[in-house]
Amino acid sequence: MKMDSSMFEKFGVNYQQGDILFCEYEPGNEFYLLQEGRVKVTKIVSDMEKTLDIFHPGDIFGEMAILEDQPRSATAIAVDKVKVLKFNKENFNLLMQSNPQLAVRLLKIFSNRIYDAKRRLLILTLPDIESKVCDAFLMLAENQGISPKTTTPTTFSSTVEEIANWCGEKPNKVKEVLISFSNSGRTQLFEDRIIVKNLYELFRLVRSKRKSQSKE
Amino acid sequence: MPGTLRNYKTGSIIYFQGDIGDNIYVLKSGVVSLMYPSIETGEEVRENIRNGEFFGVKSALAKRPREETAVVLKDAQALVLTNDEFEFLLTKNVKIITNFLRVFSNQLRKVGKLVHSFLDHEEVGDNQAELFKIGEYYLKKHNYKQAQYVYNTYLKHYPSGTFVPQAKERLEAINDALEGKGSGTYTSMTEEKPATGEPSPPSQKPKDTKEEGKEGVDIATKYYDAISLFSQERYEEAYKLFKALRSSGSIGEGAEEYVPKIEYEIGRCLMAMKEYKEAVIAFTNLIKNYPKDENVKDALFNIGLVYKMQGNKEKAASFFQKVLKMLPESPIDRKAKKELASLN
Repeated sequence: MKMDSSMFEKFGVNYQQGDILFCEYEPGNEFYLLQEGRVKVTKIVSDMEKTLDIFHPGDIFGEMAILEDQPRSATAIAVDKVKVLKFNKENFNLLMQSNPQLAVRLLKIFSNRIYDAKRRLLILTLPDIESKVCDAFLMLAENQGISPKTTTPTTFSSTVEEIANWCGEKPNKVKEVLISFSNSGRTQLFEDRIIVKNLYELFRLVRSKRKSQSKE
Repeated sequence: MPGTLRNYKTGSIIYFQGDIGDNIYVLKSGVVSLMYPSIETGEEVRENIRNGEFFGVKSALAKRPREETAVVLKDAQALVLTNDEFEFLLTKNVKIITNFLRVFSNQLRKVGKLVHSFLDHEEVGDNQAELFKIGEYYLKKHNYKQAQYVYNTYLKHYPSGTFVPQAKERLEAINDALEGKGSGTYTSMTEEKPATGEPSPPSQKPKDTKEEGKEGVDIATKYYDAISLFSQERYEEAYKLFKALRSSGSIGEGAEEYVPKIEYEIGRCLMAMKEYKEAVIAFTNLIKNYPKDENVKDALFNIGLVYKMQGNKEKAASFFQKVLKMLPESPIDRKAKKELASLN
């Protein structure tokens, strides 16, 4: 994507390899358009730094900041020498005018975010922790394009804490559920991954819970 | 305007909930209603489309299943656009984009609020403490450059936060470490794979070296290893490490500043381990031997706390008062005032 040089003069920022652009829990209301180099997005989960995504030139990131006053949910670190354009709410309109393609991409990102947030809400509305845990795996499978009707073992590179986060439950409670699932052969629990033996079984369980819920 | 005009008869369906399609519609005439289950209650909601209004946009842009069923209530005509035609239209009409951005961001906010209403808010930690912890993580991994960024960010956003003294202290140690070592350790991405769940490869630890002047760096890293053990509530391990540091004789030239720090931290560990008598001894040692140390006020406060826990109100009060009398003022004063008030 071409941007004229005056754009870079106004909004451009350079970073060296290893520099942090923003970090998890940092308050901030700018979003970024990556021009050169790569940026990795990481999160510290159970005392481990996990890479969630790697952005390439042309990508947009940090866009949630223009919506809400929540602090950043992950850390962005320059992988190479990096050039970005940094925008905030105030100069947002200027960007829209000068680069409508970018605005369209932003619309697509927001559309997907709405779907993702609604999907997460579906987990939270389930009546008990067991079905929430099952549905969290189903959601993760959907995100990876894995069919919920899969009957062969599926590996998720998730920790108990992450599953707990999706379920809105305390990690030790989710751990109890996962241990009882493991004892009954439904899952296998590892430090850094969880194997689900039969996704379809979880799918049927969640479906029947939803049906009985809507009858009430 | 690009697109195709299409006519729909009363009672027909333009698309069903769950369909996947990349068409976007603009209602020209007639009556079309969107039907969908409410995300909160599950009850069916109906919403009429106004003339000139777009529908089917979000699902088409995200390439996800339709969220609603579009029913024709009265003979209708609609302009049907493909995803590409719609994008072309948008780039010519920036105003439409900003309108959609507003609509979508409102929806996103609404769903976000609903999600939050289901979450146990107690679990959401305090943001400033969490930010500080990120710094602690990088420091522990010897990624000094990143740790430095986080502590500076902390100080910038929370100039009167709970961890200001610690953040400042860490920054000083990092500066020392960076000066001694050159640039901060950075694990390059070629050594990592995204989201495999494997821990990043351990960054290089400074080598144990007996060269003069290097002990400062070595002790700094060990000291912060112990601090981070403490922050993980692994008090006994932290205590052992601090004790080993104190007795190892490894504190050489340029590292004397750590002696009182270690003494203070030993006191904190003992307190966390409920070894109150020993804790008071450690704090007292610090106060006696280093009366000008920056942690003296905190040590006095902690001794006050120990007495309070043991039910000795009088002694507790006298220590909290000592804190308040001592200069310079610090965030601990407020805590001491609060404790004093709670004693009466």
